[in-house]
Amino acid sequence: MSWQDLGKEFQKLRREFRASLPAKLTRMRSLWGRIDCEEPDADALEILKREVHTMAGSAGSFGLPQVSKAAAAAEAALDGLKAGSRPGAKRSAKFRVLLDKLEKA
Amino acid sequence: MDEKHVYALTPKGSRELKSAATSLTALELKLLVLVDGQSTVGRIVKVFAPQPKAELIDALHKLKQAGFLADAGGDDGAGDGSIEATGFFTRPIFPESKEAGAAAASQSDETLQLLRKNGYVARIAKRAAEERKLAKGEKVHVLVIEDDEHLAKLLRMFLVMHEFVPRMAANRDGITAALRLAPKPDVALLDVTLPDIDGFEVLLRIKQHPVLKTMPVIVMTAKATREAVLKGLACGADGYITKPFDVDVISHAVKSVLGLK
Repeated sequence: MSWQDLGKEFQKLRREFRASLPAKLTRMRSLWGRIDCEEPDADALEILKREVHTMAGSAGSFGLPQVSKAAAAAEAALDGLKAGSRPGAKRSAKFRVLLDKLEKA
Repeated sequence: MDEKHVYALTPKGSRELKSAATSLTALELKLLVLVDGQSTVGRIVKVFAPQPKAELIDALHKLKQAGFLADAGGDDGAGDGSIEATGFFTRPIFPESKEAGAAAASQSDETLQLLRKNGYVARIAKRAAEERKLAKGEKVHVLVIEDDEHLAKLLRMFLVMHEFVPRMAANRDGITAALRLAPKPDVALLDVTLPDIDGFEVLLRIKQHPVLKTMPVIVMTAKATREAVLKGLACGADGYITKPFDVDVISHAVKSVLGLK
């Protein structure tokens, strides 16, 4: 494999990564729905934290800094939220706005 | 001040070590990192040689006056346990041998350089003590522990291009399977956020394993807080790279910890 091939492969992976984002976002919204409800799911919070964290790290490596930044902000918005407890209205609204931002990034 | 005197961090000192921005000088910060409630002033001062002892003692005194430090065992709120929870201050920082002591001091220097210059973006890797030259046809085996499939593919591709031999793992079972394969990997790249196990636990297990402990481990994570960096290094990481990263950084780090040019 030449460096030129590597460049092409990188672009291919980048497209794949970008294409995977809508499904990942849908999953994040679904996970948030399981947290922001009457009986919050503690496991869902852990998974969501991991997924936004992973996205924050990976997106930048694929040359998508805006996605990385938005995911990092979403991760920060989950800080301090206790597993099994329902987020307050303010946090809930903030997180939904951040997910929207992530979608547009 | 007696050289046998022992200081501990106060809650204010602990907060300063975890804060987003510090007003302390590099010297004060380094002193604060080394104060663990067990090491005497004399031992701490030795790490800074040949820096004048009086200057260091004065800096310690000022840190105490400013409320960052207290006498160990005092009743003024020293040591709230929050830093100890990271494992950093419970780790012996003055190992038995001279070489190990120098290595620890060097690692501490790297950490402080990181904190001072880069704040929360880490691109550090220890340099191997000895230069290593690969024999003709010899390949470096790199264990990549990464659960993000896209990033794993990118890393694999990049490592192959650099003539490394990648071995991939994405979870606990994968790690076990990859470590059982011969030959033993020369180096591991470890993402600390994994689906079914904490990467820091993986790191500790590697560093406590009789055979694997000599394998350098480079932590890759989006956790770029000061506490996370200190935790990684305290757990025995040989390098700490925060995501997102440029893949060239990985190659540089791998070569650095293995002593390759």
